Amino acid sequence: MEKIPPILYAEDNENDVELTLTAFKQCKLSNRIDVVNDGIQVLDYLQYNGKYQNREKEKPVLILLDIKMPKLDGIQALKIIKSDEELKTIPVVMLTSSAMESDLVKSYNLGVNAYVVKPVDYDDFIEAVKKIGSFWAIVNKTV
Amino acid sequence: MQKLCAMIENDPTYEALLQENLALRNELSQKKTELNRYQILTSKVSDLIWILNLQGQFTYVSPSIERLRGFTAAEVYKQTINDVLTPASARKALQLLAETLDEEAKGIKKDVFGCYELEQTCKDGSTVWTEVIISANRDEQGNLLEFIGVSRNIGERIKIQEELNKSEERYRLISEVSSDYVFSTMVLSDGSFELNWVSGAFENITGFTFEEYKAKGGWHASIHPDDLKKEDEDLLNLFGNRAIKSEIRTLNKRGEVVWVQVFAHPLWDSDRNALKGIYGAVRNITERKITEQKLSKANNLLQAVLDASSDAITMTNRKGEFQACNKILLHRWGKTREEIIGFSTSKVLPPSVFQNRVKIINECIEARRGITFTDTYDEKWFENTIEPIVEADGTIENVAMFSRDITLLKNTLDNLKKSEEKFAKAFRCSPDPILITFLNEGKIVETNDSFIALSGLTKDECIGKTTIDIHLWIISEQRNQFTSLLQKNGRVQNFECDFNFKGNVRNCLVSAEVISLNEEEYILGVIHDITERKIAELKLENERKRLRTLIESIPDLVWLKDHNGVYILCNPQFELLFGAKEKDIIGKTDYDFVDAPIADFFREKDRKAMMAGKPSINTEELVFAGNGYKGLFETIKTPMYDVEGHLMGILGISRDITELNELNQHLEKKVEERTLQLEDANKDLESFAYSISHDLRAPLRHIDGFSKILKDAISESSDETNRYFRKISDSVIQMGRMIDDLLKFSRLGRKPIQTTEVDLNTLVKNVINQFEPEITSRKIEMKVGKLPVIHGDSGLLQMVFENLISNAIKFTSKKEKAIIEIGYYKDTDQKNTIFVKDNGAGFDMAYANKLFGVFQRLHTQSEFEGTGIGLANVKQIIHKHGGTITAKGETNNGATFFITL
Repeated sequence: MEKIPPILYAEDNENDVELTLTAFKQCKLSNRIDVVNDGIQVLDYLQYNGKYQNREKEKPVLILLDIKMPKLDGIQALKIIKSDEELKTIPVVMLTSSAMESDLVKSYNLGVNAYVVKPVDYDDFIEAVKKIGSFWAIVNKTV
Repeated sequence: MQKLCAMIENDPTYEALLQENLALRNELSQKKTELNRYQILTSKVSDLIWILNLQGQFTYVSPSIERLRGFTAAEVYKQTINDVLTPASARKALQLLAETLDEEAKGIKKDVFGCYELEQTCKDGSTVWTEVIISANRDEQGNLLEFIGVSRNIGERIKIQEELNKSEERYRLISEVSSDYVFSTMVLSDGSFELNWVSGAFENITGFTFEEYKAKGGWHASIHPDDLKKEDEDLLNLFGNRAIKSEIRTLNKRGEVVWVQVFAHPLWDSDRNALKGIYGAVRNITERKITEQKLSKANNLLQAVLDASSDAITMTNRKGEFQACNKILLHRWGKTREEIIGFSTSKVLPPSVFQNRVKIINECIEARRGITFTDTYDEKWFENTIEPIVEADGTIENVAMFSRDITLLKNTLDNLKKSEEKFAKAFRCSPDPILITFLNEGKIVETNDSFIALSGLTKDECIGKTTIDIHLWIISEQRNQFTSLLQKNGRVQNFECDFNFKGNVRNCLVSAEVISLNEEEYILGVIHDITERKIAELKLENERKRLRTLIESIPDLVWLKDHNGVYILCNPQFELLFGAKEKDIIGKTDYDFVDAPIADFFREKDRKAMMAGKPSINTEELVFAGNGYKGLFETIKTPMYDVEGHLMGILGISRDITELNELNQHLEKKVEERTLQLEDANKDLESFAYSISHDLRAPLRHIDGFSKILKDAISESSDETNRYFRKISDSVIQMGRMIDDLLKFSRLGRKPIQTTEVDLNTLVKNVINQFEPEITSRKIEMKVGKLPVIHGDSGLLQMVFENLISNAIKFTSKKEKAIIEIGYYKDTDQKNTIFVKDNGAGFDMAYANKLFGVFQRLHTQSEFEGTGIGLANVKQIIHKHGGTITAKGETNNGATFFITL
């Protein structure tokens, strides 16, 4: 039986985390959502470092990155991910409240796969999450 | 009887007697016959025969006495001599009688006493001249018995004689003056001639007397040696019994040649059939001959003259046929002299020309006077003069026609006339006033139109007056100078003086010359008004001075070079650069004052400017040779062109920008600093804005999220609670929008405008397309007019129209039929004004000023949603474009927004 890979979700704000997870619940995705709170944790997770030393060796099917995070921000993390031979094939979607042009440009230049701005309206948010989930986790084929 | 007769016949004495008797009888008979004869004679003869006895009584008068004197014979017998003759003749007769009787007594016996002319008286009282021949009748002894006379009426004869005398006298006179003489010559038996007699002017003609002539040898000897042959011919004719008429030369006594005309008739002896004499007349025709020769010469001369004439001369008759002509005419019609007679030009001239000529010929003949006319054919013009030729009898059959080819003359005259007209026109129309005056006294003869116009006088006011009279001269000294120059040189060129025209002083140049026409001397003067020029010159001089002052006062270096780099002028500042005075710089080049590399640099810049045809600016460091000053200069080199567009030279102006430069540099540094500061500030602001919006959004999201979750978590939800949740959600969304708008607004404020050419037509079309779904579903009528192409930031402008159109759509949502109109027009200042008009909710004009404020709204959210940032954005963008936006509206009656760019 094929193991269903997890989705890595990086977000520092716990409220946002809660909302997003609730939204995912409504999607009824089978994938497990692993949450980290900053950029370092992202890398630790992906690189089986720190407290994730013993993590089961599996690449997440999707990485959802918020930009504004302490320590290493989303874009920095993205950069590292996309320059890592092992990790760069994992689809990364920025999920952020920043609509700044510069962030977009930087992200795409770094090879981000998608960039989604978190809508203020919760219904819209749920809709967006569903779409992200269903596409990236189900429709999209990964390596 | 017979016997007797026979006997008598045979008897000699009887015979003799018989003979004697017979003889006597014969004699008697004879005498009777004679008497009878005499009686018949005397009675018949017209002459009077009379017998006068010694006593002086008439014993017999013949019957013709009655005819002669009117008296009968019977009456005459009673008359004495005194009765018969007039007193004068009677005296004469009686004297004769007395003398005769005396002579008789002396024994002188005459038979005929003589022939006397005696005047006899007639019965009617008149007298009659008679010629009386008186004879003596004597007896056998010779004694005078009686006088027998024959008287002839010589009255007629006397008359005739008198007339003859007169005519003889006349003839004598005539013959004396006559150039003729008549002659008769005898031809002697030996064939030689002897001049018989001559009459008339023989001596005059020959110079010889009759004797001398004969002695010299007569006719033959007087013939001119050259004409002897002719004489022979003449004689031959005479000897042939033919009269001759010939002209021959003779030599007179002095040896001079005398031409004579000889009429000679032969006197023919028909018995011997030979010439026996010549009679005739000789006329001195020397003069005539001379005249003839002269005439012939004259004729030849005339013909030569006629032939030499360039006119065609003919003698033509009424029909236009030539009778005679000269060479030119022959030449003109290509005929010989023989062919020309009777030749008519009717076939060679155009019919109208020929007919006209014939008409005029006849007119000339009728009027008996000459006519001159011109006609033309073959593109040639002829002047023809026709003169009637009057014959000796006064009739005119022919005319003489002189035809002159005046084509050239006419052309010349036409040209001359045209040229004259041209000149007259030139004179009249010349823009310079021209005057012609007499040399003496200077009275004006002619003025042209320009003079009239300039002087304000009429022609009449000028002609006949002098230039002094019309107050032309202002300064008499000038007039004197002018006059003396003219007198000295005969002409004056460009004499500068002042003239009074219409009371104004005009500076003029006068050029004048003395000319002679028709033996009169005139002055032709042309006046050139140079007042304007003088004024212009003065202006120019002032300008020049001004310019000079300007150039000299300018603190900048100013100079002018020609296209070869040779200095034409410079100002005092420039002098410092080269350390030389302007007069030393003019005519030299840069190479004379600075080192070659620097001079090259200068020339290069000059060339650049000349090539470009427009000013070239460069900065350069200059070192003043004059005072060692060193500085940075901005030099402008401008190529200068004259009015015809030719390059005159390069004008250079150098400004000392050293200080300015330093200042600039200083400023720039400052600016750089400030810019950096500003950029930093901007960056900070940007991050700040971003942070704010980003950070502010998160809690909003949470509120909305959790309130929704809460809503779902509540087991029972009433309308009330649902309403509350909805309110929360709406508020959150509103805040989100406001944050976005604020962010956009601030970003907009910081964003620099990028101007391109924006075609508003496509831009607006694109914007409208964005709203297509709503436009179609609501059936909104979009009226879009032609919009201009303007300079602006296409992105920003798009925002403007998005805002305005979205507003229009929004605020017409409550109207059944929404009409949105977009267009443009040019306002009074020629600025583009674009308008967006709708027929929607409109607004109260009292709050117009609030429209464009940030977050300012004139309606509630429930009426029309929105944050109130749209128009603020639009205003900001329009202001960034340097334009203005205004709005006009009426509550519930639409609004129009006017953008002026």
